[in-house]
Amino acid sequence: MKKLLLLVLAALTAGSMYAGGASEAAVAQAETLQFALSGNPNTLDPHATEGTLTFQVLKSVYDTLVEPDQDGRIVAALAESWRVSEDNLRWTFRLRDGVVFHNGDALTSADVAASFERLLEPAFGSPHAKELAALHEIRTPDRHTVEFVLDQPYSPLLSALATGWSAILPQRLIDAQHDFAARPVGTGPFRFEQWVRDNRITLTRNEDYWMPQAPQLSRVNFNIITEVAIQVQGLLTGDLDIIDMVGPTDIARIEQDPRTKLDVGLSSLVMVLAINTRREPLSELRIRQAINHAVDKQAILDVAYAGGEVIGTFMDYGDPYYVDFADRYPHHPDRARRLIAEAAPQTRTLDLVLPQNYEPHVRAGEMYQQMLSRVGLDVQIRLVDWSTWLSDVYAAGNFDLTVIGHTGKLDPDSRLSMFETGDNYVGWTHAQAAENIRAARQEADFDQRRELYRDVLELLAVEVPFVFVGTNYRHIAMRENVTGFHMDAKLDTYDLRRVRLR
Amino acid sequence: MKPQTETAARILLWLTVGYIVVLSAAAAAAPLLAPADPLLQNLPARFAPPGSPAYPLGADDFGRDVLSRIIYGARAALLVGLVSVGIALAIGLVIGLTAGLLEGPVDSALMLLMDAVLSFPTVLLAITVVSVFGYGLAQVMAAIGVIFSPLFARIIRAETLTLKHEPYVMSAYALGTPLRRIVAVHLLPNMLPKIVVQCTVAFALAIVIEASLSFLGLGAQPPQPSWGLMLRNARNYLFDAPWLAFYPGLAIGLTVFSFNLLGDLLNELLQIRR
Amino acid sequence: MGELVRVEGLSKVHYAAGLLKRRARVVRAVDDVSLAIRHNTILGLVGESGSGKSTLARAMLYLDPPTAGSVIIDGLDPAALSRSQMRQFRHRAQIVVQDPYAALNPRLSIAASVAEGLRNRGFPRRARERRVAELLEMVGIASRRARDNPQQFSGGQRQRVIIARALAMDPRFLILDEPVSSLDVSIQAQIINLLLDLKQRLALTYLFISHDLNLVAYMSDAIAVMKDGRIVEMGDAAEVIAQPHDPYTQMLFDNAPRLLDVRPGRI
Repeated sequence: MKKLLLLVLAALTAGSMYAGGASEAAVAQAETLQFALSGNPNTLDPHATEGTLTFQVLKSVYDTLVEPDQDGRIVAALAESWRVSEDNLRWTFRLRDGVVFHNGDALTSADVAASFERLLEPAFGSPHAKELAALHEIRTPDRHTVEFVLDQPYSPLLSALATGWSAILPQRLIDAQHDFAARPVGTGPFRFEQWVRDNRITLTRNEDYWMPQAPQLSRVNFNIITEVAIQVQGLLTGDLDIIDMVGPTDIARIEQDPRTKLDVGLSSLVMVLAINTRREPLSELRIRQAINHAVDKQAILDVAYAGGEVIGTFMDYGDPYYVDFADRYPHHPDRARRLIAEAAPQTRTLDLVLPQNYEPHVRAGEMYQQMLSRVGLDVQIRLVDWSTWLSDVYAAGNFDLTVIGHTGKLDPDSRLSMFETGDNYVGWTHAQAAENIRAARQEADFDQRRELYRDVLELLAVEVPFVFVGTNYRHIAMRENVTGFHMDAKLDTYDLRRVRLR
Repeated sequence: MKPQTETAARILLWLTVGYIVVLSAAAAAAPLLAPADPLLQNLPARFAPPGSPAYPLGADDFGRDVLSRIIYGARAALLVGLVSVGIALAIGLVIGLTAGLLEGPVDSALMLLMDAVLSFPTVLLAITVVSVFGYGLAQVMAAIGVIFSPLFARIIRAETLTLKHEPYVMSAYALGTPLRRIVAVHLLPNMLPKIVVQCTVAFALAIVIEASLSFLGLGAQPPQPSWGLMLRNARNYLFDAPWLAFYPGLAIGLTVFSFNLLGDLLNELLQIRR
Repeated sequence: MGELVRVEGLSKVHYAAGLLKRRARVVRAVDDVSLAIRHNTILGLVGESGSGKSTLARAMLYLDPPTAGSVIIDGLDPAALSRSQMRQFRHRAQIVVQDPYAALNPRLSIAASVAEGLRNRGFPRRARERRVAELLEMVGIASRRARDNPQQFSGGQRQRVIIARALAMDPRFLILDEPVSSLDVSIQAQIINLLLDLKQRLALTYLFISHDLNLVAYMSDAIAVMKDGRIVEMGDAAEVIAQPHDPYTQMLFDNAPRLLDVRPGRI
């Protein structure tokens, strides 16, 4: 919170300095942000997709009732406050006054109710409906109050409401069957202007935005550029202000160039070497331990993933629920060899499946192969395309080892619920872990939940159905004059409300 | 041709043959010649530049010896050339001889099929085939073999149609020589020059296609040493470690150039005056 | 001596089917030809190029089987023969073709070419080599040159090799299809003398095809004249030359030097 306050202060000072000098209109004219978007979104309807690209754009067009702040805590947005009933079944949100949609409609509780009804309408088929399965009813006691009534306690609710797909749309346009997929209309800091497919999406400033001193920019151009080299080139020539694709070897160049800078932060990924515990000899704990001892995690992070923090369990390094088990199985090839000798497996040949289109994972796979061969395991690499990986590996479990990164979610339940049963791709479950996951879902208290999840994470760290390698750094590069940029690591979205071009 | 240019051409051709002999020898004796295990990673030696004591042509992003990978890569390249041309020739012989000997509707149908295969852009077709049947060198070789078969089928058919009306073929028929032997003794040896030239051209093309597919990640699979795959890895380090792209690129270029020149040389050597 | 060769009503029709045209065009290359050749005699067959002489020759030997009619050579009817019996037929009838430059496989030594028929007859290697040497000597080629390729021989020498190749089958009947027309005149005489000599020594019967009337008149016991696929005149050589009945034959003989100088084009 302190950081946020400082930023607001800084913005205020900057604003007043400008007010004294050149005309504000002229300054605003100049402030168009050129942003490189790494692909063409499949739709601009927030309720209809899971595509990250969509939310990277819509974060600036829509608001949610609550949102994560820069430290990952959930704070007020369109709701100015909220409270939870004793039994954890009734969540009441008080809406902010004076919020106006881009079409001029004032925000009321009816818009909130209509938005979630749209999302939950079975015929609409939103991929997010399942995350609100516990929701029994939405009530609107008055114009500024919304009540979510649940069937059973569901702690991840707040995180769900803070995620981009819980965007609030104007009721009047929902009723009028407005084409939100092509022309989004929200309460966000920027109005949608134009989408030239595979080329660019342009936004203009919402003069009536509810947050004070925001937005600062007059326009935002999302330039759709799918090639790393072109993004980097655009940044170096000054055609682009912010890019989100940076190759490992571009890092030094961008750092050295005085006109550009790098925003390095932790991603929310858990990079793993997944171990299929259904298969022989991997069902044997000593073999999984040996594999963990065989891997030099820091080397994998440095060479394959351009750096990161080593972890020891299934939670990303920056998460509030993260627990440090990184030292549980240190890099120790001799110990790995001993464990394998003790276990004396029938076969030492393992099938390592790699998702062909993700080069970092392929590179990591080459390194795992080498590291495991040094302790006497014969690893055969098999590359598959992404759809095959999803169907054959992730869904059908047809692999011994595979390399992947698990994306982060605002609530740990989304990450860990896969271990509630053994019906996950590594085939691992544990009675205690399953019980804790269920309990934590209904527990409201953060510390209580943290304890419950700690035990789950420790069980994972001990039984190692994965090699938990680490959380990699993500790099955003920008021109030297860009300030106030924030990226939410969990949601993979960009907050442009306080961005200025000095 | 002036004597001077003729001498120069001759020197060039023998250099070519020399290169191919050296390359083949290197591929055959790779375990003896390569200074290191081409798969051995040595992270402290990442990006060692050419001329480093243990790495004459430098080390790659995993600290693997580039020279050793180039030498083992020659195996992959020559293997792809041999096997895919072999497959193409085998299919081409069966189809070309059948069409040329039988003529009529069988001929028309087979040639229509061959033209259909030929009408697709080669690399695109190879990508499609490999995407359907899976990535890997074996699939690439099979795909190239099938895709190149019309090149051979058409030449062999045309030669069969011409040669079978040669008086010596008719005489052999009159002497009661069985068809099998007419094909083996009278037809094939006399179409050999054209087939051999086509082989060398196809060989060079096959190497290029293998490199392209491996570059796209569809051919040789990591960590197998293949020139195309080396180029694929190298493209991330063009500024910082240009040698990673230079040597495999040079190897591909020289090899393709040499096999094309060899084709010309053999064409002249195998011509027989009447 | 009786007949060795009898041809009755032989026709060879080509159907030139077009890709777009439904109805096939019919070309009658040989049309209802009948002829007979007595043992150890020579029938001369004359006619312009394109008159169907070579087609008739190939049809008679079933190299390109006729579409109608029958052929009997030395008592064998190839139309009624099985595949293995056909070998017997190949023994009895052979052909020597016009172009000695194209009639030998350039990649085989002349020994291998001459041995081809022997191999087909199942001669073991040693016997084959001995017989090849004999055959080469018989046609006037030194057997030490047996391993040379045809490129190392002149046209006349090649024609001798080709004759030797045909003789390897021990045939009783030889079709000589313009055997000397692409050779120099001096060489022509040598080959003609060789052929006449062999006829006597081996008791051969020839169908001698040529457009050279003088040559035909010199060699033949009987003469047949062919035009547009038909035999327009046939008879004893002396009679045909002295009193041709057919107007075409008359014209042919009247204009002999001019007309007969036209050499058939090589394919």
